Amino acid sequence: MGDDFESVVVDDEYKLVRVRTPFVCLLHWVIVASVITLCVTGLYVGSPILMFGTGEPYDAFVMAKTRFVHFVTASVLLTALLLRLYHSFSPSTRRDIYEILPTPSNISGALHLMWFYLTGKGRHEHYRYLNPLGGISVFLMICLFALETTTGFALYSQQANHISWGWALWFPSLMGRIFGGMPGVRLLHHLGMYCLLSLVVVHVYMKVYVSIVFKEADIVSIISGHKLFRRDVIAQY
Amino acid sequence: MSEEKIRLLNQLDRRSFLTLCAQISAALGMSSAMVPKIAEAIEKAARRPSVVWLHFQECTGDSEAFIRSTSPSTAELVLDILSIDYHETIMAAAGDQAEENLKKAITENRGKYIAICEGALPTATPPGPAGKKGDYLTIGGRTGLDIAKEVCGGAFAVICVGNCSSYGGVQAQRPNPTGAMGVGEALGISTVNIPGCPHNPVNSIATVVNYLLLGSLPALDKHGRPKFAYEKRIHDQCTRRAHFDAGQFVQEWGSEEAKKGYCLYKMGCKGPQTYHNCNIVRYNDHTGWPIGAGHGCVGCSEPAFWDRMSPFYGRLEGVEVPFGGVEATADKIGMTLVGAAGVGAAVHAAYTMGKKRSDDDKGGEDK
Ligand code: HEM
Ligand code: HEM
Ligand code: SF4
Ligand code: SF4
Repeated sequence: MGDDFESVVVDDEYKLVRVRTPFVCLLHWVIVASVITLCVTGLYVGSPILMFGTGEPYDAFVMAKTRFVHFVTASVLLTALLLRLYHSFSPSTRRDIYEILPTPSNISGALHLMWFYLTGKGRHEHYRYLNPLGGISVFLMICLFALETTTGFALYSQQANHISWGWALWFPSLMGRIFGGMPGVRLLHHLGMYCLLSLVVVHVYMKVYVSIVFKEADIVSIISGHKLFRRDVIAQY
Repeated sequence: MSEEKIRLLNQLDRRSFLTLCAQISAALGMSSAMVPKIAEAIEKAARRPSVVWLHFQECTGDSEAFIRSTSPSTAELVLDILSIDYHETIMAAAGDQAEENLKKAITENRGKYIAICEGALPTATPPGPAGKKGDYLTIGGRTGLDIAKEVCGGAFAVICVGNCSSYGGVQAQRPNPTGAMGVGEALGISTVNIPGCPHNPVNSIATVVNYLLLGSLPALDKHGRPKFAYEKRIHDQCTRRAHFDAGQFVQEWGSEEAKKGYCLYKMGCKGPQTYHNCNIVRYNDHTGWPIGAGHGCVGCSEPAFWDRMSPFYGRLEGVEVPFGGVEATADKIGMTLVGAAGVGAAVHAAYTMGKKRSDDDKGGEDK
């Protein structure tokens, strides 16, 4: 792996190592914020229970506004995801796509880690970047993002039949054909949210767990871009 | 034109004839300046297009809608606009004479007549040694498939009225014991589909008038539906849309909200997934349409709506859980997933905390 990240000495035992650029950190939190917004607004769209004020159209436009927020956030999410993916592939940055793709070595690494987390047996390596299990869960998240954005934009283009963009016409029909009509697309969009949320629960738990148990400031690494490593571990890199 | 027809034609009320022309021009999205031209086209058509109307697996609801349209009246429809040479429900002939009429119509006007189909075609083979493909529908000793093949094969155009002939309708719903299919799918031909349950006669007539006026069939969407009638979504032209945007929803049938005419989204309205102009053209002499009358849209103009748009009174489909075959709703499944993930994390945390305590003297961080 490249040595293009500076290391900062903290003390005799620990060393701060830069593992991400600030931009990638920023993208992570943009993605987190938009996913939360999309889930909240999406759930309301799926099951509108609240009514504000008199509830009369002149007074409140709850559904319209909620959907507006959902759609704007959808674009923010898509942009952030595309930028993040570009980062994974771009030769000018560290190509972390190899840590994310479910290659045989990543899968076996992930299984080892899972075995370790569940039974405490085996060895826990120190990973400078994503560990194989984290990589796989990010891969699954990316798949779900792909599902949410394709089904989401298919639903969106349904109401956009005044738009003359080509995709607005073929996209819903393609999605409809794959998923059994627009209700099927809608259902998948809805279920996809729950799958994503369950992964997020696992993701956050694992990060908190690793940060506490291995004292590597794993969570800090997605905020400041630095990870804390013991000197004897860093010798591996 | 026969003496009889001319006599009846002369009795026609000019005003209702022009009303019809105006409605057709509106449905086709033409300006009112076109009304005289439409009237002229209909009047001048040297020979009104010969129409053969076939019935397959159906409830005659589309014929019923056709007959019940009071402007134009049935007489006007039959005599003024179309020359309906065969229609099992409204023709006077019966038995051999009827079959004779059909034969005559399709041989005399080969390549020029319009075949209107009502009802789905069963394509399955009944069990038993005597079963033949398509046997579930037999008319005059021939299978519906056979008749459809012959009649549609020689037609200038095939117009499918109603959801059944367009996409199979209720009889094609899972598990579809008779193998019912839309006519286009069953015969592998392209058809003009006027789905709906029933079709809206204005759309069907407008399609024919489009042909009279321009000599061609109207532009179709990906499901074979004329764009002039099926390009817009129910939800986008719904009279209750302001309530949707405002977040005012009927939560229960018979409630105060229902009386106030709030949006039916939560009661399972499929308007957001359905393309049709029933909210503009309306049914029953242009007086009403389902959502106007307080019932959610069930998506009757969409392919396989019985399977895909159900439950009619719920927003999302139940999901079949692979083990046990129970139907669960999407939300229950989702909550279970997220819950399971959360519980898993909690259990793991408790386990490691306990383990860590017992491991502490071993310098547990590296574990
Ligand atoms: C993490 C990402 C997302 C989540 C969790 C999410 C969640 C949801 C949920 C729960 C619904 C309600 C579904 C229902 O029950 O009918 C919904 C509706 C919808 N979402 Fe998303 N969504 C996401 C991304 C997107 C994206 C990228 C788009 C693209 C424009 C999008 C467009 C839509 C549309 C058009 C609807 C239907 C709104 C309506 O019927 O008025 N969503 N979303
Ligand atoms: C909607 C919620 C979330 C989503 C979709 C999400 C998604 C992701 C993705 C795709 C990555 C890997 C790519 C990258 O480096 O940017 C990642 C990494 C990371 N996330 Fe999240 N995340 C979410 C919430 C959180 C939260 C709340 C935390 C904090 C507790 C967190 C902490 C981390 C950390 C520490 C990493 C770096 C992992 C490593 O280098 O080993 N995430 N997240
Ligand atoms: S009643 Fe149905 S079509 Fe009308 S606004 Fe509500 S959801 Fe849309
Ligand atoms: S409201 Fe929906 S189900 Fe009812 S006639 Fe119109 S398209 Fe068909």
